[in-house]
Amino acid sequence: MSALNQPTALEHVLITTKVEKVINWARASSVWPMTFGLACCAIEMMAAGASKFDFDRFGAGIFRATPRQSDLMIVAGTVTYKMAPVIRKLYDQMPEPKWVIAMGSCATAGGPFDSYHTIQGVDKIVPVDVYIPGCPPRPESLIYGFLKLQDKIMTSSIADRYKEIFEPVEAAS
Amino acid sequence: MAITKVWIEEGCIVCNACEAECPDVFLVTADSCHIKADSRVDGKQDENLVAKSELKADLHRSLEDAIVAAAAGCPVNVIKYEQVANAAEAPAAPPVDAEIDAALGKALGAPEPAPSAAPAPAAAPAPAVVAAAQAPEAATDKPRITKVWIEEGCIVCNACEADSPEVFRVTETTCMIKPGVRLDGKETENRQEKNGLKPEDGERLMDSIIAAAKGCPVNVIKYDVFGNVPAAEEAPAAAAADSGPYVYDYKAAPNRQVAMPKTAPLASFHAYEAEQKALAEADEAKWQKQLADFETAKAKAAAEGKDAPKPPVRAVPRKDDNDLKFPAPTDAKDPDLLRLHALLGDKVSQSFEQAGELTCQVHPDCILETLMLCRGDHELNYEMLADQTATHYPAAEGFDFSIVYHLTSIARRKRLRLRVLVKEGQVVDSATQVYPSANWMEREIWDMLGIRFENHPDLTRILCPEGWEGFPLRKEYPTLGWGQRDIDFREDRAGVVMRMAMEKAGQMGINLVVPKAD
Repeated sequence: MSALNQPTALEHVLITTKVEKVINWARASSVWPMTFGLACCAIEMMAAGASKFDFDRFGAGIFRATPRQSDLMIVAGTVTYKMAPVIRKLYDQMPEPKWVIAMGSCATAGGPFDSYHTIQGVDKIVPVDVYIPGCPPRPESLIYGFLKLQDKIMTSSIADRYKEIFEPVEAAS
Repeated sequence: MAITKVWIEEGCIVCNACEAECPDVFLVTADSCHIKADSRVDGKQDENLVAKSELKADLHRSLEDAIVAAAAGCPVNVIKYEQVANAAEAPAAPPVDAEIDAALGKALGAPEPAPSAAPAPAAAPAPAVVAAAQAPEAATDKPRITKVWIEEGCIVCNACEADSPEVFRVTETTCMIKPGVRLDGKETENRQEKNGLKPEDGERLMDSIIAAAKGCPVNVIKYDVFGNVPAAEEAPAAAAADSGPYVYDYKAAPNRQVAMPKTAPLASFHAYEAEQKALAEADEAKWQKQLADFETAKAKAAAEGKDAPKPPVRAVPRKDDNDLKFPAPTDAKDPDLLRLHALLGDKVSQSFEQAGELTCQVHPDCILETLMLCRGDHELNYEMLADQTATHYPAAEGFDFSIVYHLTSIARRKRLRLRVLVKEGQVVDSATQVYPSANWMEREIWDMLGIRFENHPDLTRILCPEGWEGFPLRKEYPTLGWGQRDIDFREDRAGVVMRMAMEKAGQMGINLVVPKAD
């Protein structure tokens, strides 16, 4: 009877898990951010990528120079009305799955620029996954925000993306 | 409900959406969209923008849903229509979903004939007559607002309540029409029932309601006007419709006026001299008065046999010799300024030195000549235009802007400031022919202050996006609450994502319908 709790010969060499979990783990462990900074927050982002803080420990060190190869857009800085269409276009050019971090108070809610030229939060143009407060946030804050994003990726379902946006069709209508 | 007229405003992008929704009325041509001939009373086929011919009576009700759907589905919102509840109810229905300005413009113009859904003879004459016949409570025939209601989309900004607190009450989620001014005494948005205003309130509060409607950042306040709005109201609307230089309309919403910031006076030798002269004169006058007072007191004392009073002592101005002293402008002694004056003569209006800086103010017409002299003359030899900028002086008399040119001579290690004073709308010669570095700086001046330069290679906005309204560095430009922030790109996002997903889903055989509202 004790054999019931023992791993079988097959389980000695195999791990059983869900495909979704494996995919999420792969995605969360190699998030490639886009090389994209708008203002002073970008300096902190560079510091986070450099050797002292080393974003690469979490798999996010490869800043790609093109949106086509990126998974993550870190909106680091003030979003003006002139820049907004550009950000939107870059976001559209990123392949799915993609995530957005609004870094700093400007990207989160306009920051001190309660003015005619600044968008009051980048979430008016792109969907944001993680907001990081601070003016600018220290690299530790960015790394903490990134870890939160990894948690989000790990707990997400592959079907979430469409579920978030669409309702299923009612049979009557 | 029935639709009496439908027309296409300018700006059709020939997308065929309306023809798909309602092929009986719309015909999309190569460059525009036409209202079909067989659906119109006058039998012509065009956009119907000018003629505004009525639809044939049998189509009023049958095609209503299709036309409403086509207008709602138009991506550029150029399909406009007139909708009436029925002839016995509405004296004059405004074009639904039209801009407030357009509605106001219509109300200001000649009273248009009441749209008659059914061929009722009473509905044919002008709306004034109809309203008088069918609204017995309309004791006064003065112009007034008959109805006011809130369309969907209120952002609870409190602007209307500030403009017209007697009519509007902003709640947590929406804006209500107050019971005190309504005939039925209820408090709702009045969107469905469109209950009328009390006539005396409609007349008394007309200005404030119009101001509130104009001031609404999302244009959800709609109203019906009875009669002609007085001519005094017509002027700002006409000025706003005019496509002249951009002017912020303060009168539209008196409670939302922007306080004009105080402008530091323009540094000027003439002004300084006049100020000094006035100060000296005031001082002298004070001294003379003290002397005269002393003489009378002395004479009075002598007459009464008392001791003579003390003679007055003239106050010596306090010597103010610290470093924080305002550097007084002095007359031009620098050889460069003198040479410029000698070469240009009367074209120089003033030249002075202040804190070691040389300033030469010239007439705007000869700024190009002056710049060429500064660059080409062997004694001046200013090779570089280091900076060019402008300032707005809204309170100044005789000019509105000053443009300054900061020249640097690298060889002679000297700097010179040229200055011209221009009026609103005045065009100045571009400096790009003499100093190519002026190119972007002049674009910035145009972008920020709206001063145009002649013969500039590419005078377009440089900092603001194209199509920006207004010039942000003008003093009257409101920096807060301008409304630009209310642009919501989420609408666009929904459009893009929905289209992409619809395509994808269609390929996969999934039937998706409407995205969730934000």
